[in-house]
Amino acid sequence: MNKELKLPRAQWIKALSQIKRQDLIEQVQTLAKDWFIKPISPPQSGLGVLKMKESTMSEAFFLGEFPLSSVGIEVSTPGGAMAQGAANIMHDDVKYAEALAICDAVLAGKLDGFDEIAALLTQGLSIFEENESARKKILSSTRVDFSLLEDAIGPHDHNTTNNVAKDI
Amino acid sequence: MLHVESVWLPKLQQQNYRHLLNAMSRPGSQNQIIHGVSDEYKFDYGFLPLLATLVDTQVSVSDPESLLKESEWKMLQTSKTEISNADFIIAIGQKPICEEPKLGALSHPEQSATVFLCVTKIGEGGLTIKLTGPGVNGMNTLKVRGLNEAWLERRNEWCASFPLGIDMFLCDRDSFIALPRTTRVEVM
Repeated sequence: MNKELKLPRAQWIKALSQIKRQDLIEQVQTLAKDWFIKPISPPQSGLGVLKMKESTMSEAFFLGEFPLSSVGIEVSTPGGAMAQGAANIMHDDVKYAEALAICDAVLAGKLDGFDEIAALLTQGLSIFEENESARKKILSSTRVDFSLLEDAIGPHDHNTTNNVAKDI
Repeated sequence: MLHVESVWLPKLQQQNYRHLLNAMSRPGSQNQIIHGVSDEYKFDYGFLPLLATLVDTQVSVSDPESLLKESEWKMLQTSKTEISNADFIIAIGQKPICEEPKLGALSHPEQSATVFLCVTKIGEGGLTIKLTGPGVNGMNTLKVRGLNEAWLERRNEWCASFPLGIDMFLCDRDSFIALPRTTRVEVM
């Protein structure tokens, strides 16, 4: 397989996270069972918030709470190859984020197992595109055309509005 | 799969936090630093497990002697800054710093620096210090090796206008003591 990917790295985790969690973890565990994997930032899971500043006093506040897991790793294979990978996912699941971070490292460093992970990436991307096209269909079928409201307003409605304005 | 050194995990940090509280309550009492299982982090100075316990993304650290490795900065997830702005300062006992650290303000005395001072050995050495003040039963004397007296002179100047001042930890490879700003320190 050609080891160049068309999909930019920023999209890899989005595509790979379409694969069933258990399938992805099992495949990565088999692939990385003899690898040495160390963290480059502390693996964390919990609730994330967005730190923002309000516009009047410029005081910081935290917006919302969402589940977040974050993993950054460095992978060394028995063959001596090394690569770094990372994943931030909106799930409270470090194990899943770790599997995705390993996939990221494999693809970025073109490590052993590149072909398997690239196949998962392609599969994930097609699932994502299918979901996206279904979503677009639903959105278009529920679209409301507000321009039709103009036709619904008759001359009587306009008079009523003018009378109210005069009374005020 | 993923191997995380225990120095970065909550279990070890909670144990060290307990020791930090004990040290601050009893200035001058020697407390053990709990290291990880691996020897990688058990180097000449033992401050790293204590620093890892206290810092996060919301605080800043100054490391003028470059004692921290780049990989450790990433794991600490804190920001680097100069001495005058730092919430935490790591320094060497034999090299006093010239710059004044953050001493806090009367309305916010907690916005001051905490200094980790790396010394060769606590409990032995040529320098004897006398500690008095809250948390010390009468008087406590302590020997330290690898601490320049100038550090204590400056520390006493910085802590002269209570509640302003700094809190200090002296660390060797395996143990540490706390010198909170309320403690009076004299060289004997």
